[in-house]
Amino acid sequence: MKEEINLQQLTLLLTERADISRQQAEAFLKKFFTAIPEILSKENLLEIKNLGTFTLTKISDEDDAKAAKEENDNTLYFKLRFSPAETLKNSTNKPFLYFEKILLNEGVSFEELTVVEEKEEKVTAEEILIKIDRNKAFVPNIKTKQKTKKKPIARWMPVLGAAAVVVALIFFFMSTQRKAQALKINTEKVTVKTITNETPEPDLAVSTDSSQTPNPLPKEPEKIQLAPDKTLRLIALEKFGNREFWVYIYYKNKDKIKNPNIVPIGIELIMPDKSEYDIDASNPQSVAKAKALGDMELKKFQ
Amino acid sequence: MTNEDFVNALSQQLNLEPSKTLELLTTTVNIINEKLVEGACISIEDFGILDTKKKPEYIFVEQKNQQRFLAPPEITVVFKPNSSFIDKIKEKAV
Repeated sequence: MKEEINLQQLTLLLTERADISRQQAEAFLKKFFTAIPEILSKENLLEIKNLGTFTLTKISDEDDAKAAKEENDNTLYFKLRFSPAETLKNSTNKPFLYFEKILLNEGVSFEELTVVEEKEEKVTAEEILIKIDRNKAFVPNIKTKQKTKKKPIARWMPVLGAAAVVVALIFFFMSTQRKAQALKINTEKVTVKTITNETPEPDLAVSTDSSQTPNPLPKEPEKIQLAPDKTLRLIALEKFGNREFWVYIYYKNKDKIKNPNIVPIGIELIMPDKSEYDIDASNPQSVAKAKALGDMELKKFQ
Repeated sequence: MTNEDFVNALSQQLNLEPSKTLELLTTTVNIINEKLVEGACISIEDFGILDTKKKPEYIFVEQKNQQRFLAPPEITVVFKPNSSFIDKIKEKAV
């Protein structure tokens, strides 16, 4: 799974590297990211050294633009392009940087590969086509344009959006049900306690009538034996849905693990309870917190 | 707008010395670049996503002599703006 860096994580990194306060770093980053579209809305080009160039060009010769012009004179088309800086381009493409085009002999064929004619190859950066209907301003309508093929991603956006809303509703409904269930159990536990306090032999009363009362014993913590091909990160990914939660497994087993980088194979690890450390893979703040703690712990062993 | 103008614009808005703004900008760009090289993506609310994408190898045909070449794969940086970014651009036309 691809690591996703959000504003919060970027703020933490900038705070560390630039030796400034967190508020200053956050204010700078917010301004940095909001200034880019603001500047592009006034000027057509913005060059950021070592990052790349954002260009916004008005187009008039596109087929779509022509067709729209016939229907409605108030429709405008803009092309947004980001061209990465040469240094960034080379460093991200490091694995293939020294590969060159190889002349193919006749008879050699790669049926599964796309064939690109010379004239088509010129377009390398991905472009975003922005349609602006001045009658219906501020209604987003994005089309992604890549090379000469048109990909109707925008057509699927409402369907995907609706599916995302349904999934979110299901999760919300399930979590509220779980909370309600937990509350119910808690109230039942309280009732049991008050009853047992009144009875002269509380232990007997609870154990003999276990079918009617919920089990008051605390849940046994889960234990896992570290397999040769496993790491704390892999276990965290399997158990909690994100690698960054490895640090809590480390905390829970700190008495057995001297160095989190060297964990002995076969060691029995006690799994932390999700509620104990606020483990929630769906919450970016929880993931960011775990990452920050993890980085802090790892620094101790560098 | 050039990098220098961008630094000046940010300095004015943040009420910072241009040299300090340049330092912060350089550090920010370095962090973004490092993370992109590591294979992570930068996802920012009100901006969009900066991500890397692998373009597979392909056969390139030269127009003049119809010679065929096997072109290597390439990892490129792509930017996908989100709706807030697009809205700000749209203000230009209205």
